[in-house]
Amino acid sequence: MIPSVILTAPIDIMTPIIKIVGDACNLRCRYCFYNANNQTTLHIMDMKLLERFIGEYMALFNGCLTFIWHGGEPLLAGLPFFESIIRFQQQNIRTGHVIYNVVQTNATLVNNDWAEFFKLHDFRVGVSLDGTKESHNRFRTYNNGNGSFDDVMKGLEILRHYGIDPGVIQTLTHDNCSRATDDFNFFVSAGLGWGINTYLDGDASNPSMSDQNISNEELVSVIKTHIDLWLDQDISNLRIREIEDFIAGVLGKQAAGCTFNGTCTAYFLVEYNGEIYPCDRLSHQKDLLFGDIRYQSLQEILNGSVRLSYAQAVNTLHSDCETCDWQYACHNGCTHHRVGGIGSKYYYCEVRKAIFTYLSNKVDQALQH
Amino acid sequence: MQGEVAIKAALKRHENRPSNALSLEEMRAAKSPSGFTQGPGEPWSNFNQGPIFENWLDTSPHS
Repeated sequence: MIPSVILTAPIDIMTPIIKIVGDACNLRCRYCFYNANNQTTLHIMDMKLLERFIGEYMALFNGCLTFIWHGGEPLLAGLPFFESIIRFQQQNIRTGHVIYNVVQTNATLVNNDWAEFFKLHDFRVGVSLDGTKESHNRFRTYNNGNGSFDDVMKGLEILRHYGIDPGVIQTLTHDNCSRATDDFNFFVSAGLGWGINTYLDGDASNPSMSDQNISNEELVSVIKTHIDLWLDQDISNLRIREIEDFIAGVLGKQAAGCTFNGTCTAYFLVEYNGEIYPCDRLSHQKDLLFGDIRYQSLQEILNGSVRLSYAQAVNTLHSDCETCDWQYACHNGCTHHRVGGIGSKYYYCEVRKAIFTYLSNKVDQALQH
Repeated sequence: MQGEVAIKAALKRHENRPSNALSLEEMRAAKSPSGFTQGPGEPWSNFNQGPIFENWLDTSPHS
């Protein structure tokens, strides 16, 4: 009998995504889910709030702790802010703690000082880059409409000069679906691993981009293209997040990506002002406000009724999943892309089924050799 | 077969990862679907160490 709830295991460690400057950004990417908000006014997290959050978080959890510094554009907070992060972490470290820091940046502000700091403190750096100059500059622009590609590539070059091996997040839109092969070859020739963010404005909050939503058919086509090109390359160290996650699923192994694992509830988002939400994609949704660390303890918030209700809704098995062969490897996908609400079906359900089957056959063929 | 090297390398990368398929017993043993239930000083279960982070690709929580 299939239980009525997808029971992800009790979570020992939760991972914070911290929007230290809120939505503020020096770019105005047309597809950004924050661009309906004020991205010009720079709100930087108060230093005392940062100190308290790091202290409470590190007191609450032991083991390998990962801090994901996010935005907006987190580098707008400035290097002294990041130096304070390290200082507060060092003040709170205790036996059993291993600290990792991750920063997701558009890389346009990266200079020698930033790269040296990231290298010194072993930051893992993710860079937002959509592919070739043509793909990237289509939507990743400054406020004046100029593309940011050249500045991003310069930032990447500086990071690499300091021995940092950044990875890339590519946002996939309707427009760059047709350039999947060009973008794949661009990333490979640049020696970059990457993952895909799929543009899907489920709540139509960005009407000017409604023609850029990715359909199931488009996404299947792009991922199959990536898989075929990946197989053609046939090298051992080319890592593409989606392929890795689908292979994990085929093998019955835990994938890395939260959207495959049902580990959505292992994350939480900290806004610059202290508000706590499930994820950066679900921030600003007041019905999902878990609490506020200005007025409550982190432990109280994470055990609070809003978060527990959210986790229950995330983990509730959708009726269509009950008979799906890939349920254990998919977990109904990304909560943000369950169009119609958290308890709804994952919009790209058919993509998951098609790619799991496609890749499963490829793996079977490889293992027969 | 074309792609054999890439696939076998990917399989190798995944061989030590935990299973993603919980047994029925494991599901029943899980006290709550809500996840976090423990506080400071309480024993930490080995049942799930949380998300596995191997590199930056694993730490950007997006689809």
